[in-house]
Amino acid sequence: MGQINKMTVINSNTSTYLKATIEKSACSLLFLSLCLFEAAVADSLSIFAGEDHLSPSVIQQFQNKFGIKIRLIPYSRMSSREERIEKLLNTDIDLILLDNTAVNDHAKHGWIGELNNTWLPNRKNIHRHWREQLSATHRYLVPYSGDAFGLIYRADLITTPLVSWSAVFSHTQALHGKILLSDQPVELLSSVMRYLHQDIQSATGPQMRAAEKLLMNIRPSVRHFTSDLRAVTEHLASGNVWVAQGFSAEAKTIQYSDPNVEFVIPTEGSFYYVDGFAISAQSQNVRQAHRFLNFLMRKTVLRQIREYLNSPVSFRSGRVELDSSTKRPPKTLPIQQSPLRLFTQPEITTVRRLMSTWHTLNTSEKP
Amino acid sequence: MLLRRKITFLVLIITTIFLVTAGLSVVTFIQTYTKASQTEEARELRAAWLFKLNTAHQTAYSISDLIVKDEITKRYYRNEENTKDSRLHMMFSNYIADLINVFPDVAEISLYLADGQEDIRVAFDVSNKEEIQRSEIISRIFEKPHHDVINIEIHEDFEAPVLRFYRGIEMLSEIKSPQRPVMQTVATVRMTLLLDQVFSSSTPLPASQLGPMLIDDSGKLLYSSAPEALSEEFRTQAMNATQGIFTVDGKSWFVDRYEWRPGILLLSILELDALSSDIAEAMIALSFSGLLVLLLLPLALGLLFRHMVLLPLYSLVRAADDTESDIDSKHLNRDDEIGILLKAFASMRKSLIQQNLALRNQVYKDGLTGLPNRNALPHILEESAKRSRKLKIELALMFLDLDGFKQVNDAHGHSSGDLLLKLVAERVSGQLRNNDQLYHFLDDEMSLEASLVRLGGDEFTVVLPDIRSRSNARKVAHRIISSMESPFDLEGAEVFVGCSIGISLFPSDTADLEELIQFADAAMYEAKRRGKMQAVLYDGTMHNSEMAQMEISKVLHHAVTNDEVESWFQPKIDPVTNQIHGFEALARIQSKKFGFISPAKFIPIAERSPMIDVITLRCLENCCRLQKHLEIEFEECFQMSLNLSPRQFSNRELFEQLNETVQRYDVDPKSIEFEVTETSIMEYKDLGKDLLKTLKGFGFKTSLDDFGTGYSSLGHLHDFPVDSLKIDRLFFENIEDRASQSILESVLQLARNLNLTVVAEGIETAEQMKYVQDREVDLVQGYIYSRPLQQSDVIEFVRLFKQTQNLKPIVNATVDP
Repeated sequence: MGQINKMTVINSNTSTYLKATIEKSACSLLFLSLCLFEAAVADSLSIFAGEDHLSPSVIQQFQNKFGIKIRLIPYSRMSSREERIEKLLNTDIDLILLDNTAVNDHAKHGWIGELNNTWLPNRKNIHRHWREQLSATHRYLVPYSGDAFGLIYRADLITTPLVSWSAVFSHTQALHGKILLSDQPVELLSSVMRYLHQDIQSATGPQMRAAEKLLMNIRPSVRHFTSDLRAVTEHLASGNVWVAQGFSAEAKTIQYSDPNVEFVIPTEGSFYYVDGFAISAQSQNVRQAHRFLNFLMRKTVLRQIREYLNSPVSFRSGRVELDSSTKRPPKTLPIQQSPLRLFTQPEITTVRRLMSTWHTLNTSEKP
Repeated sequence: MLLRRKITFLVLIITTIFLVTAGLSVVTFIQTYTKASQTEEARELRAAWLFKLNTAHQTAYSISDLIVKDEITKRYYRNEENTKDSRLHMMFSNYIADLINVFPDVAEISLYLADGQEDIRVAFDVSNKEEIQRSEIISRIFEKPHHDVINIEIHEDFEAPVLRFYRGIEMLSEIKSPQRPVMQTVATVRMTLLLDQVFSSSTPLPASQLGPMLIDDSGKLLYSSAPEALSEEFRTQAMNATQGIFTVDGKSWFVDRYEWRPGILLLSILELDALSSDIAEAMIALSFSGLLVLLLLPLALGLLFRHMVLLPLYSLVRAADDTESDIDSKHLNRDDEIGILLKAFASMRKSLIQQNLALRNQVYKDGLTGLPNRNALPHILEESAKRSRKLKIELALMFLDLDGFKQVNDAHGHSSGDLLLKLVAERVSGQLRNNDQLYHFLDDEMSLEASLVRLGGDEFTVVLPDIRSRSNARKVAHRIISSMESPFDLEGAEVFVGCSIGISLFPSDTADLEELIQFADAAMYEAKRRGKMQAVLYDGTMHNSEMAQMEISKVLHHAVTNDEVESWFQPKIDPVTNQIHGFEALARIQSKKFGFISPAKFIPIAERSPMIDVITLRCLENCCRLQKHLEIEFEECFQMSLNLSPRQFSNRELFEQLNETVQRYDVDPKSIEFEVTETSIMEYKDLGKDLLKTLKGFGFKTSLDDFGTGYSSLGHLHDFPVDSLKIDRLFFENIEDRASQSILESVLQLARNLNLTVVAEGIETAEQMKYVQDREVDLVQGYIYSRPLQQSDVIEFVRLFKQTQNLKPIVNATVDP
């Protein structure tokens, strides 16, 4: 599942909003009064997201500007999809943070409502390329952050900076038993396919078997298969593991406790997720929710969010920061030139193959 | 000892039978067990394989149940569209993978969609990633809801035999139609289990067993872990083996066939030789140990039995055999059943000894005198004889008979007689010195009087166990006889009795104790004969006369038993009219050994026994028969006379029999006359008178025989109801003697006065004849007319007598010897 960077919901300025309304159209008094009534009634918004996903600064700005209180309902990083949906359906949640692959699923079940894009004029602040990339989710999702999958490693133990997936898939003897791979089949296999210069979305059977064979070969060198941040942190910190697969946001988190840890997006390329907000189908504060979403897409707010989350993607500029967490000067590329690809849910046939490989790997005897 | 031998013998027999039976049982058991164990082991094996198969089936079913019923499965397969949801697919796929991890018995779980596509396959160590085409079985699952299939297949990937379980996942269709939603199979779950894993065992199979074998109907091998089964011949034989046994390449096998599922046969195979040798080894070990136990067990049981039962029983037997020996107290003190038995026996033994003593005294002791009785005599003699033989000394037996005891008895009554016997016993006992006595046989209480025995009546014996010479015996006898000389005081009345003693000596006279008694008896008779009150020592002549008497007794007995006592008849004739009046019947015995035996010899012997009655009755029958013949022949009734013994006087039963005989022959009793001697009538006056009255009462005539020789006075004659007098021959022998003539005259006169018929007997000479004729004697009997005649000659005699009317005797008649 994609990881979401921290962001801030900024309070909107009610007076600015009213002035713009009067300027744009000669709305009747009734409409005005209705809007005033609405604003007076809806003085809070419930947001269902990770605890550290929202920048307190941005939230404060929004509250100050619009007088709408933000109530954060956090979900655990490890909570399951089922738990989240259960919460979504049974509480008065207005907004939920989702990754781009979950949108269709949620929309299909009617758990999230369609956006009124006329109330979201700030979409124009999102770079054109991102808008194209995310066009499939346009009806339901407002992009919030993007996170890339790469390698997190101990720079103090691995002296030569890592640049390629070969560090794990064709590792040196020194790294034998010091490797940690993701236990998420899509993430793992996507990286393998990238290493093999293939695209998981279009992988054929033989290509998948080659990936599987590769994985089976390096399997004895793999210390752990896990995607639990705490486990990854501990293993890297203890030195049991020198290199691990993970997201840039996770690398940033680990760096708080271990400054020797670095993150790199391998040159063969990788994928990224986009996390964004959707409005709950049951929300009673649809309009206020739209105001919040529109606020998030302000240029200044977009910048603040990226900085808060240290996200490698910049929705404002359309650039990708390849080694976002390193202490070296950031190497950024326009998104269209970047080796990163947005991860979208593969076709079922692909998933079958992918899962089969994964099961083979998973059910084979452990080293 | 006998019991011990019997028990030992019994124990041996039982042990032998036991061993033989046990041996046969072991052999039978081995045979039966071998066969049973084959079947049993094969069944156990089958049960073990079945358990594994069924467990595998159950596992597959249970896991499929988890899948079928899980919410995620329902969500995943809710509609076709969902199955294309890759996120859901991943979740569901991970769920299946989790199941595989949790249930490692399952090698593979696959799910197939209705369109035939393999949706999910999770397997351990599966390298072949080619999609597997939907099989026929899966099609069947979709076509036939609620239908599970279990099948043995070869795995497409690693080409190993696997157990496969197919089950449909059914859901309510969500087709929105007016029709009710229907259940439809949306997917099929296929569980795959490796048969090698299913049948794997933690313990290796014994050499005698082959692993499980699965074949189909046609004999095609579906699975086997045994290389032997790979041969087609082996499989064919195993399939077709009758009674489960087949042989391949010289090895015998036992197979158990079981149809686990339709079309799937489970074979459990054992190698017979290995099995049999295993069993044989076990059986041999068992047999040896069993044999040892069987040998030791009877020994131990025998010892135990000896200690518990036999030893107390020996003690009991010893006590039973020997009155001196008591039962061992340690056995008596036991509180078990044997102890109770021994106590009861000891009590019974004591009681029996006392009773035996009392009984002995009763049997061997004379009630009147307290002396040993007749029964004790043989024992006393035996004991004395033993001692005599041992010490080589002589033993004397005295036979005492009192003289004049009868008179005392008659005069003073029986109670006085009894008292007299007691006094005699005391007096004789007083004459015997201690060393004359014998006390080995009887108890101490009786020992002082032990050598004096009362035989019965007035007869006693004295056993003198140790005499130095014959004269010593005689001295003792004389001492006894002398002691009798003083009178006995019978409650105021003084009486005198003497005694006659006969003495025989052992072993000089005889070594036979019975003979010893007979000899003493004979000597006693000799003493009586010699005039009583004396002691006589036995000698051989006594033996001869005694022996002669015994022989006569035997002949008499034989004659009576065989009806050989003949009746001879002597006529009585009226001398005046010269007519035959009648006949007197006389008993005669003609012996082959002794020739003619005189009635004077055998009648006294006969009189001592009931033989005399038989003789009398036979004689009467002959009289009746003869009288009838004569009556028929001559139309005349002749009187028949016969004699009665004094011993028969009191025999009323005899009189009845006599009367009954007469009536039976239809003879007039008046024509039968019974003669009794005057001596006997006078000796038994009352009895004689009663007898005569009784006979008269029956209508018989009576006669006094040998009249004139007894002690009767003529004055008493009228007291006796007699019809005739028969004057003794003595008077006619001395016919010329005046005294005789005077007596005859008086008797004849008296008889005429009393109106009695007078018969003169023993008339042999013409003088005697003339005399009786002159005196008009009524009837004459004697040789002058005829000697006694045999019955067959009587008729001829009568005829001739009538023809000739001659007084001469019949010369040609058979003469009485």
